[in-house]
Amino acid sequence: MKLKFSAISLNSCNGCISTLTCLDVFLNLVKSAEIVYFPFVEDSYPATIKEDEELKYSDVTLVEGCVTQKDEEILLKKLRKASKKIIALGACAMFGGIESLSQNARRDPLSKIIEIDGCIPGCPPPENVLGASILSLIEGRNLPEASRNLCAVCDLRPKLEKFKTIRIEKLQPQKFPTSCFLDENVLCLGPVTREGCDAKCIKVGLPCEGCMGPPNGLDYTANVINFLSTLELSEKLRTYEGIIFRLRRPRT
Amino acid sequence: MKKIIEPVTRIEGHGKITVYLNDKEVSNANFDMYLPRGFEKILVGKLVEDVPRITSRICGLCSSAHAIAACKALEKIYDVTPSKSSILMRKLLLAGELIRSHALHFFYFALPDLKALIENDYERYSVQQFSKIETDLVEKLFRVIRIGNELLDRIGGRVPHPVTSVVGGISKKLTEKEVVGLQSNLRRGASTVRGIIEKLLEYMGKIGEPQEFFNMDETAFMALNEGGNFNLYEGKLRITKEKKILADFEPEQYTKYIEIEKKSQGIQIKLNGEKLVLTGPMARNQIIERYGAYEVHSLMEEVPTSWKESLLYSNFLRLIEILASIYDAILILNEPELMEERELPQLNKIATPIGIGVVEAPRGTLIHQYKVNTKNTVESATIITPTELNLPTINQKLLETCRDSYQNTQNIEKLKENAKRVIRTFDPCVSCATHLIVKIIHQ
Repeated sequence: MKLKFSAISLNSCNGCISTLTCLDVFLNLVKSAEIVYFPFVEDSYPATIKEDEELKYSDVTLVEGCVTQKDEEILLKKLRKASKKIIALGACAMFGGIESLSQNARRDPLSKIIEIDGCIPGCPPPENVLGASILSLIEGRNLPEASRNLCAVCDLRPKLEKFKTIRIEKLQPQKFPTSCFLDENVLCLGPVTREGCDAKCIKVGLPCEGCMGPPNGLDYTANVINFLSTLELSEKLRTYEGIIFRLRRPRT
Repeated sequence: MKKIIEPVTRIEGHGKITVYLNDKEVSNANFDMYLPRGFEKILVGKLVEDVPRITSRICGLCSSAHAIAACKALEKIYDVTPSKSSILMRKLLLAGELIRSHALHFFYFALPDLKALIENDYERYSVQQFSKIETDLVEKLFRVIRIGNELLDRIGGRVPHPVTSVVGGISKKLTEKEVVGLQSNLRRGASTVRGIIEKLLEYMGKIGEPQEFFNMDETAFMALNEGGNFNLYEGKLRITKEKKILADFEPEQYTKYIEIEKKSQGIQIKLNGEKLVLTGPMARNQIIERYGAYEVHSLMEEVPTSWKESLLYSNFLRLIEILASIYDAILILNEPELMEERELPQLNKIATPIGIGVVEAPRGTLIHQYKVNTKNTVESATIITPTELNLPTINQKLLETCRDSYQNTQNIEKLKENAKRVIRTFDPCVSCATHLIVKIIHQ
């Protein structure tokens, strides 16, 4: 039996789906699966269906993007009914994503509307994580998980002393780092971000902004706030909402 | 009056066509994009050094262009100049992005339509069918996508949404090993692209005369132009019409030629008396004189004249731009200055509160403008994307296509397919369109 596969975009930049279509395993997926809905590469589009109509069945539905309006909510609920597994693809689907920075607009993660069966993290998901996840889905295995943080695999791994105050003044270093960003007064969210991205940003000289989200089972916002509360942030950064609400803004 | 609404698949983002039918003819047709994303508002209050990382998230296909345009604009404000090495790295980023974006467009969006034209039916060709019947072509296209991806990954640190382009320069330093690897990749890529171009020429022969004529006389073209050379990073903006130069200006002067008024429901564009403007591969082809390597030009000479007057020619031009960008990237990777040591300049004092940055994104001219306050945070941001500039032209051509198609066939399904093919040929980028509605005002 061929895997029945769908990939849908809600409010997004198409970055996760385009990453998928650039993957080496994508052609394998195309050959081994039956595509049900995948409007980025196929003419099948679920948004045309009428209110009372049901969607076709999929074994796996990947959803990128966040929920911003009623139409998307309705579509998502229909996808839930018609799919065995719904996987949140990327930071927008998992947390709301970069547009959580907007103050008033609705930017809901999928899990606020429906129950989801798994996540593929990142903004965008790193190719190795996405590729491994796709293979797992094809073979019916569980998605790869990560319980360690990024520091566990980082070359600049902090040699932080206990009870030492970490002062943070900047979001970006002036020079290529030779020691942990936190020792250089630059904010790095590596300590509270899950591993899996191979520390890509750190390797090119920039700190982690937390796009992979927390290690398994933790809440994004609480996790970031807890971490920030252990740091001594400069006055400028203390009130800067670009950090706390970067990928998630809890709303009632 | 009958109203037909058809969603457009195989484009970047969500869009739909609305066609209005009288008893006998099509009275109006529109391409509507929905899902406003609101990045201009998000950027207000953000720290200057945070801006490129946020703007790269505007689009999953042209994130480098959005990051670099923001950097260029903010560098003007602080009067800092990136090192030669940083500029070369940025050019590599733009080249890699163009290769990836154009190759994705050609493979997933354009090719199924071209194949349907050859077979002269409107049956859909899926990626699945394609990978069975055109195994070699699919494999070649996929290799080109990977080459763009690899270049972006090495230079930008992440694909899409590169991180290395920061205000003041580029954070990463390349290693010799990376340079060698990229060069051999790109050299192989050049011959792969030539193979794809030959295949497209063969397709053109099979299709015969294309129907989608594009009346160039009505359209004004705009692109960056650096002394006649293909250059995505810098140069003057030029507007031409019927091969005549209407305006040549520094990008910072754009407000004199393109008047943009923000409304609560979107933006209104006024263009120096011109109703329709087009940016992107077609426009660059009209405006620049040289794509770099001579070989690129000799391949263009093989295109039948009738195709050069067709909208579908832009699909060929995308492949040409991929090849030109591959050659450019190989040359840049040979430059000794690329490997020079550099330190990022300090952003000390604001020299001028407003900065404008313009680059050529894969889909055309992209304009970023920022106002920064003394706390080094953004006070206001304006982002004008190629798709927004192109929308009036897209709608005009859509209307013509729907009218002709209905008049000739009276078949609504065919009308829909023709209309969608035209939209895809323009390669609109819906995520990028930062405003809800674009209107054009006659002067």
